[in-house]
Amino acid sequence: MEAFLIRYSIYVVFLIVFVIWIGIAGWLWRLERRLVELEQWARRHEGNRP
Amino acid sequence: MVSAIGAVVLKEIVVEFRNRSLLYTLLLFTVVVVLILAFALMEKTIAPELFVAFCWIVLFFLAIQSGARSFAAEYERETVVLLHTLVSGYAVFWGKVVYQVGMVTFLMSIAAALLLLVFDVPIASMTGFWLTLGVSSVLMGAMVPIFSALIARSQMKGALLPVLAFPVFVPLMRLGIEGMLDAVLKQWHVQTLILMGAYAGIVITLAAMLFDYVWRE
Amino acid sequence: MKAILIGLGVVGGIIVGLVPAVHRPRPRWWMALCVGGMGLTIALGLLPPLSGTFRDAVITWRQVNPELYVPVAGTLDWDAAVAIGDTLVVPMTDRAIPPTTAQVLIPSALSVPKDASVVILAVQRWKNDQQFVMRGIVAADPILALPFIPGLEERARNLFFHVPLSWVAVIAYAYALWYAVLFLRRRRFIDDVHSVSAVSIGTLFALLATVTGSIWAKFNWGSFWNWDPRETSIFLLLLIYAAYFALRQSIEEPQRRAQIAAVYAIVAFVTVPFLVFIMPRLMEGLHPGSASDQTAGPILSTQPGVLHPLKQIVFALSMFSFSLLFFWLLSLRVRSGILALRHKIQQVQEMSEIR
Repeated sequence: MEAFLIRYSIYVVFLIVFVIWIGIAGWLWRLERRLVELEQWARRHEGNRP
Repeated sequence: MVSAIGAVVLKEIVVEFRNRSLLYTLLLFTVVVVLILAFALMEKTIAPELFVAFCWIVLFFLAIQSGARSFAAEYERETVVLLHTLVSGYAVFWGKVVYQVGMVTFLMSIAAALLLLVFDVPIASMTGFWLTLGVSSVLMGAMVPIFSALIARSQMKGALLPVLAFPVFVPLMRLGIEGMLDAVLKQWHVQTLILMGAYAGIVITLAAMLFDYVWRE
Repeated sequence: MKAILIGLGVVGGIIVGLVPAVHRPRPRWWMALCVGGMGLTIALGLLPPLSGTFRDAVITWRQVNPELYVPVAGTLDWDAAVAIGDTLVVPMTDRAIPPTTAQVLIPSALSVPKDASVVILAVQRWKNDQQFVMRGIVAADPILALPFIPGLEERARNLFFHVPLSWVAVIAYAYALWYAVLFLRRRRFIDDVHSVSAVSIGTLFALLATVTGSIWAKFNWGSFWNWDPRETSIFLLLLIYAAYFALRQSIEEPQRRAQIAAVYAIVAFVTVPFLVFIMPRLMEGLHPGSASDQTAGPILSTQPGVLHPLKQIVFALSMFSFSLLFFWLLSLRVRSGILALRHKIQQVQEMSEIR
């Protein structure tokens, strides 16, 4: 068991951190897309005004 | 220019001496602090470090309290309009600085004399102690007005002033406490005072440059 | 070499971060660069095994903790192996300069691949400085390896996360200062949006730097908080910018709020160079680079050999990725701030039209 820990514990840490980062990145990516949509909508909305 | 600054200082003094409320409050604060310390530590010799700490606690709160209402009161009394029309922002700022410095230095010298009387602390360099104390009070007093101008129109003014000012004061206080400890324990150094002056100088110069943005609408 | 690499990471991160202007949408390649760069930083910072020498193992046994297992990289000489009872005694040559050879006792329960040319074994000093007992295998023929530092061990990896976070926080505060000055000169609300967004993202980074630092300190220095000069200074920095938000909260009129906040941001920033660059270096402290340290710290020291080449590369990459992440977050905040501002202006216009 101990030998196994010595060899693989850092991979577990890596996996956790990496998954967290992918989660954050995905969230940011979605936020970016939605903000772009919102900006386009705002531009159209303002353009319609007299 | 100088006369305009002088006029602002004079106006501050006259207004203060009309009711002397701030002066009495601060004097009372000083006396109460010293009395409480005396009651608690009666008949005991205290460590010089503790003495320095007391000095700085009194100094910090004196500086903050003396500036707390300085600008807010102008807005409440609606004397702002007068100041706006009569003198430049520059004169207002430096006038307030001079008045604040005088007030803090005067009260602090009383407080320090009382503390020295009550606690018989051996002091290695009397000149060094008074010099450090004087420089510290002058610089602390001079740094307060910009913060009291910043909070003048905000809600919860009283609570905000120490919050805003404290972090900016810390480098100065750090140096000042170290310098005063040196003076009380062994030997005082000019370098500490110069460093303090340099730091406070930068802050006060910036404050003078930016004051108009706070003052003019 | 080190200065160029790290300079490239910092300056490159700022330039690429500013290339599509902050108030514009991020292009796809840009987002991919940020996600990929950070992923690579995490992979390169965490995956390579540590590789030490027999000397490190002896130092660790003597000065740090005799219970610790130390990863030692080297080549085993199987031809000279001798079996004593159920342990195998194999001579191993480590990769120090100059290399040293010592005996490694391999218990029969543990197996080591014989075809690997370089193995990293977790060992402990045994009877004397020339004898080590194997406790496990860390890696066989690793592609990359980071140096082992006695006393720091795996915790040295925090360099790639903690330090860039705090550097980026300083960049953020400088950005906020710049836009505060611009606001006072041009009186455009968009500049205020830039300034306040940079302060809020910068404070997030400073908070993360504090958290990563204090967790690290718990395991390295024994407690979460030690009032080291740098800890004091980040505490004050957080205090300053908390006061900044308190000030903003307490003023209702938008024009006045922006103006007062800009003035405070400028006055408060005077303390930043003092707190970040001067005080921690002049005073005795636990952080590298303080007055009690012989070098200027692993990153800024000009002495050769203070920072391993792979660590330099990963650090530069990390600076780059964290800067991009900052500018991404900043861009999102600034753009939503601008949208809110435009919405408010429109509302006011509609109100005046109704009248």
